[in-house]
Amino acid sequence: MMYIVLSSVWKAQYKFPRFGQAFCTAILNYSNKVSSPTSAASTSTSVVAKPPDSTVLKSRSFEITTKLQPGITVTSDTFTPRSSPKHRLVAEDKQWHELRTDYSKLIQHYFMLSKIRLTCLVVMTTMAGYALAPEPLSLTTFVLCSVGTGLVSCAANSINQFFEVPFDSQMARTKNRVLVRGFLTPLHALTFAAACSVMGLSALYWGVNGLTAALGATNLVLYTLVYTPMKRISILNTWVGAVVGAIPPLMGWAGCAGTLESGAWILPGILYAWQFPHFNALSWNLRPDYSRAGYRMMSVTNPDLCRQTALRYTGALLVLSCLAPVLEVTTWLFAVGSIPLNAYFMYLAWQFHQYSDSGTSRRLFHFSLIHLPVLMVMMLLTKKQRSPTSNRNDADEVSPNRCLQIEETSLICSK
Amino acid sequence: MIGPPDPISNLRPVAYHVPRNEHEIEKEFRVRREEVQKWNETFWTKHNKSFIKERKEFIAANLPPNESAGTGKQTLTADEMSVFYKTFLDKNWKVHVQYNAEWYWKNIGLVIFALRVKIFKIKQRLMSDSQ
Repeated sequence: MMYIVLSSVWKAQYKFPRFGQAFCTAILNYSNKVSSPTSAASTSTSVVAKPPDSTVLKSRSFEITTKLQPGITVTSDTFTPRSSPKHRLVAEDKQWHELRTDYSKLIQHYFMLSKIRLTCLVVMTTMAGYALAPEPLSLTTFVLCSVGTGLVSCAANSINQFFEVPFDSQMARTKNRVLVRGFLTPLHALTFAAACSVMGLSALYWGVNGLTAALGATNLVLYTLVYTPMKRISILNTWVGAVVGAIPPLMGWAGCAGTLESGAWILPGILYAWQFPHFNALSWNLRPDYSRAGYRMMSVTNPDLCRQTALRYTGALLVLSCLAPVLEVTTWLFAVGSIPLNAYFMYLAWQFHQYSDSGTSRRLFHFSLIHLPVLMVMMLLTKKQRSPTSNRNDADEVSPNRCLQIEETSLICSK
Repeated sequence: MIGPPDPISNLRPVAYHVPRNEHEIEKEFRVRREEVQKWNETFWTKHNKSFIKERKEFIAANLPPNESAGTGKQTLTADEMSVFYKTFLDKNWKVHVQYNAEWYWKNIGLVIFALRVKIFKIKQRLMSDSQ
């Protein structure tokens, strides 16, 4: 889900002026004649998997790909304006390529396989969870916790892509994935996943603590063996997916503190609640693709529920933000400061609930991309200063740079 | 070799090269992959064709009568179409669950086979190197 987040943000920035685009198209047409298809395909891989975000484009492109016109291979990219790498891809898409692993592009393929942007977001939430914990920061465990979580996330995403090849082929958003296009074999992808999970879980177990490793393993299993198949069986997959998104900050906290006290659950709770307005708004415009590919999402099967949960969970976000100072994770400044942010989020969710069109859904989705980072930064800045022991001083001052202080005593947080 | 996606099934056809000295195990692996590919193609072609057909029927049944005059709207709104999307998804739920289970089984089987073939090839190379 959060991969869609980043790719939409990326796309918003990836806008060429008209002149630049015409120039690029000219260069592109020339390069098409001189360069080999495979090399061009691999260089454009990284810019390909970013779907058009508008409903109009999606519905048009969907119609084209399902027309009964033999001999014409059309992709949705044909109708995407101003993107010359995509034009290049459309031209190559009509050709046969050798099924050969291009080792020069291996790292690029691994990045695509592990959904590197989503993985980075996940690692950031883990780091935030770590920074919020009351124990002092230990550089080794912090780094190992982040790297371990990142590797486990890479493994989970690779296994997910391994299982979903025929479904990914059906949807415009995912049809240029590495395994769909044959850049890597399934065995290669699984070997990569196995290596990442072993390295990641080992880093967590031996470098951090057993609890974090256990949470990491649970999340891996939950994502690959529960969430992935469930996407095609029941709409409950959204709730499972929200749990998957909530576990990394829990891992961060466990990595620092070694235990999960009541305060540990605030950031995971926020992430859990955030997933609903975020994903429900996004999936609203993807209903044709989900229906055809057989994915069971609320937006298709139960639109009323979709609208209601989006609204309900923005309310939950407000409550959780106010609960943060009560559980002594942050000061009251956070509760006060987050009210306008959460209130606006609720307002957009209310608009989506009332009008439910592509405009309101898109506004809600785009705001969710801003809301979460801002909320996380606010939490970190207003983190409550506490001593590692059970003595809690309620008159502690706010220190904005608290999270950046590095204690000399390392290994406090290790097992 | 891997080709462009099929316009109906959206799957990319793969043509497997048959080496001159293909061993039994490699042949079995290739045949299996071709079988799974064919099975996938059949399923998705059938599924997508019925989607296109039912979608057309739904639009035709639900467009307002002045459409034939050429001045009315040609397509339905997203909200109107969502009724079709829901009914189609619900109707095909069991089909998808069955396909899913079979696909997972076949996919895992294929990857285990791929591992066996890989181990065999490594052994072969080690044996020929040592001779």
